[in-house]
Amino acid sequence: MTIVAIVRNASIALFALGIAGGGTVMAAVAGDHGSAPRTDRPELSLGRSEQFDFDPPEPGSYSLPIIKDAGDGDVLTADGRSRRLRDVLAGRISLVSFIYTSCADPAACPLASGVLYRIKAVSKQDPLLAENLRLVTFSFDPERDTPTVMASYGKGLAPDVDGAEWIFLTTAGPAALQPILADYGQRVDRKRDPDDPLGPLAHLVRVFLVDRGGRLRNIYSFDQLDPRLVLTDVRTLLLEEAAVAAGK
Amino acid sequence: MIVRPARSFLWVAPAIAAMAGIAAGQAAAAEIGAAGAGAAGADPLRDERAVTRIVAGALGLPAMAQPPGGPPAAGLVALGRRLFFDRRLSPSGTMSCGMCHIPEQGFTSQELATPVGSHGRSLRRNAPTLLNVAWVTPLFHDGRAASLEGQALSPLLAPDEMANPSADALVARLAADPDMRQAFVESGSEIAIDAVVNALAAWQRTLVAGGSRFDQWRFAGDENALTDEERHGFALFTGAANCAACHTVAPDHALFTDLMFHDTGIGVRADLAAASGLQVPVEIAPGRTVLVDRALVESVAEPRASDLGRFEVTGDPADRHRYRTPSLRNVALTAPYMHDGSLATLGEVVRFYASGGVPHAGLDPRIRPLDLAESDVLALVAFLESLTSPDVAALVRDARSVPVGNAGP
Amino acid sequence: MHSPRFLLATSGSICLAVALALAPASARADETCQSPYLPKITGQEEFVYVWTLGVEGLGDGEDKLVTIDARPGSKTYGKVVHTASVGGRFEAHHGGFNDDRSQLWLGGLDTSEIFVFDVRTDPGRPRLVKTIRDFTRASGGVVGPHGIYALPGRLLISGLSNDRDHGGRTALVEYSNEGKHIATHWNPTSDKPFGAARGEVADGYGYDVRVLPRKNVMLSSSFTGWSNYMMDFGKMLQDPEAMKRFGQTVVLWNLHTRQPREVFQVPGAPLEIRWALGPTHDYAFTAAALTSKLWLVHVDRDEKWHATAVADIGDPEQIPLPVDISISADDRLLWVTTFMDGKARAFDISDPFHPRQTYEKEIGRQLNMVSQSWDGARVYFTSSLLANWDKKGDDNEQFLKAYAWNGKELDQAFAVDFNAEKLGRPHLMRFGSASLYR
Repeated sequence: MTIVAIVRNASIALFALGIAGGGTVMAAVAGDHGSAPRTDRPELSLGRSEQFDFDPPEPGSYSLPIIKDAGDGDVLTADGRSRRLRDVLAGRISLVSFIYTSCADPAACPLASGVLYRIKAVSKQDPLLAENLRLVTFSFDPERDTPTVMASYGKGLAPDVDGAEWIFLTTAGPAALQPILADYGQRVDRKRDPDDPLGPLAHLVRVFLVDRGGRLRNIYSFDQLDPRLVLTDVRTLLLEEAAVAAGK
Repeated sequence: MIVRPARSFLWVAPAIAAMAGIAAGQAAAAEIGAAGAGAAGADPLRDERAVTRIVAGALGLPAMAQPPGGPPAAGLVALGRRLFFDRRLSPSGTMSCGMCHIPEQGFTSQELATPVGSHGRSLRRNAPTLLNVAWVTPLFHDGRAASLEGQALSPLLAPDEMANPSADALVARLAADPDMRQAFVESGSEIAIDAVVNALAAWQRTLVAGGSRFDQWRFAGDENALTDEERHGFALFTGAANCAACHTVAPDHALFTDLMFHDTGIGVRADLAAASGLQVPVEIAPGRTVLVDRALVESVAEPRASDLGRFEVTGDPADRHRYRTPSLRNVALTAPYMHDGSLATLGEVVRFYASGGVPHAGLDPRIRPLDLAESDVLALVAFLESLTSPDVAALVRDARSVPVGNAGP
Repeated sequence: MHSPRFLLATSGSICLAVALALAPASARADETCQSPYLPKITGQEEFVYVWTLGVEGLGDGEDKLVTIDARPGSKTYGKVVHTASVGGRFEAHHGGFNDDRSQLWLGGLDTSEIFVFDVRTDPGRPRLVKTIRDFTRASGGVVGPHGIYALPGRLLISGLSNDRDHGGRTALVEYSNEGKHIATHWNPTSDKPFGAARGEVADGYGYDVRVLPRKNVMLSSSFTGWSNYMMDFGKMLQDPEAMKRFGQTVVLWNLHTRQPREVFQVPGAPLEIRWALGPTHDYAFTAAALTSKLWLVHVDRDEKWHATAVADIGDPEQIPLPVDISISADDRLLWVTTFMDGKARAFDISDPFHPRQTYEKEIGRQLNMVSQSWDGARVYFTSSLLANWDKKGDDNEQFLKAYAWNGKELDQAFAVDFNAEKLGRPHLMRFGSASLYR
């Protein structure tokens, strides 16, 4: 039941939309930032799958310990501007996904981008997510993934501005990239066979949850990249912020 | 359930947990770790109160013989408490005094017949409680130390206990830690072995636990403090059973020990069992005991070390297998019993004596078979259980007001 | 299995394959007994890493990581090709890789150090790159880092004891791959069950921890505290108080929240946990060491979890002491090793509710760990349990033995005598291969 979408020349062609439940994602009840805990969670309509055969926990019923401060460094946005990564990540809860656009391993970068795509779709149903969440797709292949390439990649995945913000980043080159990868603990190796049909780079799938204060709060790999679970974590951080605000 | 280290900041779990109604479990867990202990530590009068216990004593206990120079300074007590629970007292970083004298376990270890030292080395004798240790002299089961200050060095240097190669090596290690240096400064002491043992002794003297229901009944005139059964037990204790021949009771106080050395037969019994070749009962799960061939047990056992008791100190053959009478105060908290921890319950202990101990040439003549009904055994146990001080919980809190000391930056 | 399809980019255009649903489930799996998050060696392992306890007076006396060449045809096949001593005796015991398998983390149960080896740069010569010496302080009092298990970007470390009484109350501790403490999750106890069902029987002990991401659960098992695992084994067997201090439970946790869900009574120290590897095989085995019983933890159609005793291992009256288990990649065979009689036993677990012993062989006078290759054709054993639990005198054989398994018989391929080579007491084994990093 693997569903694959192809983007060609920056136009997106979805062979099938893999949003389970077969139906409309429930309209979210609008709420002010920092309001009381929400009970509606449109992502739950995505339902279970063979890989994620469980119901996610209640947001706020658990804690996400601080792993460390998220790394910083010089990055290039899709419009070619140079910025500091921490500045880019400021002000919202961010999901940072490290990829390279020529990855052809369906269990790797396409999977991660697919999950972000689905999260973006859910966020259109929920103003709380739309206002507070940022998706970040960050290339670790600066030689090929120039700002122009990232812009095209981004247009394919996120042609509209509805829902959560989605930004696409790359770097000026390995010197700028390496410290950021090291900080995040994202290992990338060149494969021995540069013509490997799945792509020339070897890497683990990693998506990072960064809170509004720039601290790393969770790390997802293949086995956790369930949009329901990721959004449960995002909502947990939103509740935590609300609790802190209420305490002040 | 998440415990953050004490130095962490920006930890907002309690707030969010409270929102979700799960605060109770997570907050409770904080008591377990060092973080919790540190949080409970802000009590400026704790050390002064501890010194007061030395001076004031407690109902049922005689006035404490004060050390030379009088009661210790509060700072010395604080230093002693901290050192007592610092696992860096041993070169391996695992053994503090508090690993065998565990506050929640009656300031002894309820989980072992005899303790386990550095690198797992086997010790021969049960860890004694430190409650009311100020009244114990001489110290150790064999009485080889005259004072708490003199006693403290022995486990610090014994290769099978804390295994410091020398006092100087211990002092050098303590001095290498900036926090520890600061603790000595705050106590008004130079970092030296004398300060270490003086501080350890000072804090241990504050572990005063009297005022039990028995004391209320016997020394404060509260007729209702003991039940009929407990009073019957006490009558047997001082009468027909003659326990008080060694566990003495004076008119105005009761130490429940003559501080003398006696052979109960427990020492020879262990030798007899080892030589018997009988199978060993091993409880492999609660309520499920299997009999294991002694050969199998011995295939994984170091040879048992002999233990000759007071003889090892005096060299007098008459002292073979003699051990100092322990106090019975708080005895309900200090299982297992006897110098080798070989009896699990007070009932077993009473029955052991009622059956006349282990008959052999050296048996103390005061130990002889007793004609006790089962109800008498139960009454004696009930009486012994009335000797528990209501102050023990406060002493546990005092002990846990310092975090356990561990290696780290 | 899924069969993903994707198109390659045409020249000059950007091609983006977006897998909106699921990619193939990675194999959840000694090579069959690893964290599901790890890359696996599915072919020939090249090296066997052996975490080895130092013995006073033997060689340098230090704990060490011993690397043995397992490449058939190699000039040094079956030989020790590298040793890395760690500077003392710390009761070397267990450990595990991080999630990209670049590091092997190894714990010392006595003094709670953790040694981090780089196994990636030169898989034939692991190199000590970091020593964590403040585990107990950082974790808030956990003693005895035991199982070390890869989670994404971090390691989950199951403790065995604590710094307050050296008893069995302990915790799961999370560290980042960089070696920084993240969180400590104390195991449930009857007085603090943390919301777990049947919390009244919770005993707080720890040993192994293993996850099943598909069901968002993890299982932990329970051994005993520092006082017992450091104690002379014979002394402990004769101490009724000490024998009361063993774990009697398996705990089911919510993997994502790290909160205990349910406590199962599994008497007699359940140790190693092995989840089945089949993509929909939602069950795990564990063996209770003292009671010599194999247990199955499984979920029913109503999503209710159960722990069921499914087989005896040897004659429990003789305390054979099952200490390690290893599941085959096809979920059909479970190796069980027993310390006291030195035997390896093969159980047919095709029907997990009715395991059947089909084979046994005495490997040595004492036996502890077993690891098998992904295809099950090679099986490795080591001899040491704990420094003060191993047999004494002539029974104290110390070895790694490698066997070929043809489904019917174990045939010895090579053996390394750790006494003769003055190495120490071999314990945990992990496989290495340069092919992982190409």
